[in-house]
Amino acid sequence: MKPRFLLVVALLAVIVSCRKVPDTSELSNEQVVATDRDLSANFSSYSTYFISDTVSVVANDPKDTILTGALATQLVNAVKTNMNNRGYTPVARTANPDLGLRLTVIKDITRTAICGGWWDGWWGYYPPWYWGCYTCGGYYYPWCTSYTYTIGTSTLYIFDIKNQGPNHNLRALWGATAFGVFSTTNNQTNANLTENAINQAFSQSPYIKK
Amino acid sequence: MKKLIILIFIFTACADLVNAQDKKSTWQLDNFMTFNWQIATPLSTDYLKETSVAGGNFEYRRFVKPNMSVGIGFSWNSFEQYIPPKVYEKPDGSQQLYTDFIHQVYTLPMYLNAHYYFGGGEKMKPYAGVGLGAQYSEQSAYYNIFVSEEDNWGFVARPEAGLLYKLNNYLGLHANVGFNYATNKNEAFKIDNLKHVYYGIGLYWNSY
Repeated sequence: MKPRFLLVVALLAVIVSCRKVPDTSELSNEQVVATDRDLSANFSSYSTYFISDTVSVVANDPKDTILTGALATQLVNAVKTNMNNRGYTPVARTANPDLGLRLTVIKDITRTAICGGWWDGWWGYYPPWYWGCYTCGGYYYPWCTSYTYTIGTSTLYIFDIKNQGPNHNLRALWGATAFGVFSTTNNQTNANLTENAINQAFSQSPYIKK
Repeated sequence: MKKLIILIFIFTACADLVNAQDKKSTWQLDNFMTFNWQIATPLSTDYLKETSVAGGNFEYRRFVKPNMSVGIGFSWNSFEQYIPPKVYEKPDGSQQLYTDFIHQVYTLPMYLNAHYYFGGGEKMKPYAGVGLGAQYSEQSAYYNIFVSEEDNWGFVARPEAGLLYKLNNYLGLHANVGFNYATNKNEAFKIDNLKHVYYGIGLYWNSY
């Protein structure tokens, strides 16, 4: 009986190790794009917007906080093109815009943020990204979960400047988070991935229109 | 499911035919082991639907009556399916998410079984039976370079029908078809249970 028992144990070991590893090369390298809107927002009530020509950067180097030049222009223009196509007009910061947009790129950083209240399992997967806890102009973004940044994430928010509250608190009407693998050597590749993600974020948010 | 019922019907009909043709069987089984390659088609969920050829089954059976055996068994199946990119939207329209996935489910049922053998010819011995036990399962969703995983246990029931074909006194061919129902749940992946139909082919070793 002992040899049979050993045979069974050996077979069990084989069975447990038989889980197939999927071929993940099938997966797209395009970033995962999540968007979130304030359901009470009436996007058609706004006409003008402002977005900076530079992009905020969160990186391991604390001095590396702003992205400028051609790559920043590429990303900002992608946002502008989408906003203009939806009927909004870009204006200067000093021209009292109705909406303020802020684009942030997070690269090569490991950070864990734990908030609460956002995840309710609606789409069937645990989100591994940090959805919010984003402080901007006194605004605390309420939808949060936990996420450890290891590669590339970009966020784009639309804030209501037209109806800002006391102490200049701003309400976020819409937020987009794109995350996924970034190239470690080619920033143009990363900019292209981010531009595609920006276009996808607007594509899946048809309610943003004048 | 219809195919399964038809196959079980064919096995049963085959059993009656063997009974009718050979009432004087001399083929004696005492206890034996089976080892099968298993193809399986998931039925339970929208999570994945593709048939898997990555599976196997091992059983030990011991006869307690001339036409009845009891034993233990292990089975494993690795299902996966690529889900093209699409937008998932929260029902109230407040949130959207876009990505593609590879969905994977790995099942490992472990069970006690009982089988009834319909007569027995010189070469073939059809049977029907059931396995009852526990199923360990892992469910994974791969996307970009991330993966979300969960594992769980459930109760499993496995009605099946099969056929033994004798090559010599010690070795023979084994084929079976069955239905694996397990109560494994995964709320995040919206899986209430795991069900699949399996088709196995392999060998058995008989020891007197």
